[in-house]
Amino acid sequence: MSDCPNRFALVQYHAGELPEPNRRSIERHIDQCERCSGVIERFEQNKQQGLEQRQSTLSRIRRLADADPQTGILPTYRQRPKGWWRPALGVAASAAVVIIAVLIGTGQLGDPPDKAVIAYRGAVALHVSAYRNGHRFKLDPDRTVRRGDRLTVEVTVSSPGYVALFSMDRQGKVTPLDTDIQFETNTEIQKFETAGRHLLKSNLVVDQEFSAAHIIVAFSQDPFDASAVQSDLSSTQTEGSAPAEMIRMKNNSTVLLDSIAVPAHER
Amino acid sequence: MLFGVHLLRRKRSPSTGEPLSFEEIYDRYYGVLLDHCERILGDRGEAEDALQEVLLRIYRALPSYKVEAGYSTWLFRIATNVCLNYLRTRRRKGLHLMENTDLAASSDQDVLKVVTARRILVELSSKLDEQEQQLLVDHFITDIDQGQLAQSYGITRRAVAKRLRKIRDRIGHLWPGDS
Ligand SMILES: [Zn+2]
Repeated sequence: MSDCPNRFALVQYHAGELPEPNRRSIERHIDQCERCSGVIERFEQNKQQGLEQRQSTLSRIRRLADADPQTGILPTYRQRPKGWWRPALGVAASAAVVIIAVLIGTGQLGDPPDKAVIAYRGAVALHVSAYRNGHRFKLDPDRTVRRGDRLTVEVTVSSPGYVALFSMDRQGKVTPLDTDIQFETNTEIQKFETAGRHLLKSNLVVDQEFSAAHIIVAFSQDPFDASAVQSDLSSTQTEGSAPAEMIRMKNNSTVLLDSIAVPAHER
Repeated sequence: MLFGVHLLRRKRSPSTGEPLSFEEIYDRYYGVLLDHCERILGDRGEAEDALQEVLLRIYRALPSYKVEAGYSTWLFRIATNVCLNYLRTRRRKGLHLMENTDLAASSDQDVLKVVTARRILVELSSKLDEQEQQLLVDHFITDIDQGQLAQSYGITRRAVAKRLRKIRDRIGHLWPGDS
């Protein structure tokens, strides 16, 4: 027990970073040590949890990460002229560049990659924490929420912008969700002056009336019509599926959405 | 994947010091990083939140990271920084830690060290600068061997021991119980 390796050595063992002789000696120790094999088992359980939510976590990270860290601006697509993707090889390359340069000069190929057409949007992520009797628990589909549970709703936005909060019931009906913050007069959107994480609602109590199957946040860098988002969401929703991630408004601006599923609740 | 530009790096093995893709890092290190965040923060839910931010920072920094002897030291440093920020925010908001009593009552040396180190970070952090807080985490919570610690800080073992003594003098009797 006293000759247990440092915990960090177990980390490196678990991650497969140790060179062969060290790896084998730690493995021998783990085989006989209950404590260290318990640590490894814990790492393994955590890892399984990570694998279960792999897809949703990775896509959320990418969405947030690809926003410009300074401006929070996120390129949605880069249009590059054909031919730039697979540059010609070897000697042919320089010739190709000359040819393409000439073609650009004559307007036949459009702009080179560094002047690629870039459209921007921001990024948004919703966070919902659930509490029961003062203890935090994880919202996952296998668990039911109960009457008396409390939810805290926060949002991270990649840039200053406007936010609206909705809930969607199991039939796909979308309604605005009250927040703790005072919305601007006569609008259902809230302006945030800064990028980062903001509290929207600290004490959403699960009660008789509570019927949310999804909590949805809408975000845009420009003001938008929250009721249009609401009706768009209601009309396009198919039962049981997750809400859309983006809505294109009539004026061609985009509103980004993120949502979190609330597991079924007992009445 | 809409924005998969960074994800086209090729698969290689970690022990040879060759680069991994973000997905490979996620698969390989999610488990140990979540454990690390939970040890610093003492709260599973908060640790899961913090880990999202850790992953975000890793994703952004990965293209410029040059892998030498594996990723764990670098990844854990990022995680430690994020979690120390969480503790600072928690302090600013006047939120107090709900310490898991099962853990605190345990006689396991490791658990006692973790819990005490966490308490120092929450209650006495004004006495320690950021580097010292980092060292406290590395020594008691990450539990890195001092030789390896010296290497990752680019200083000698003696210098590490000296810095630890300095911290010990400042926080007095709360110093986690090792000799
Ligand atoms: Zn052991």
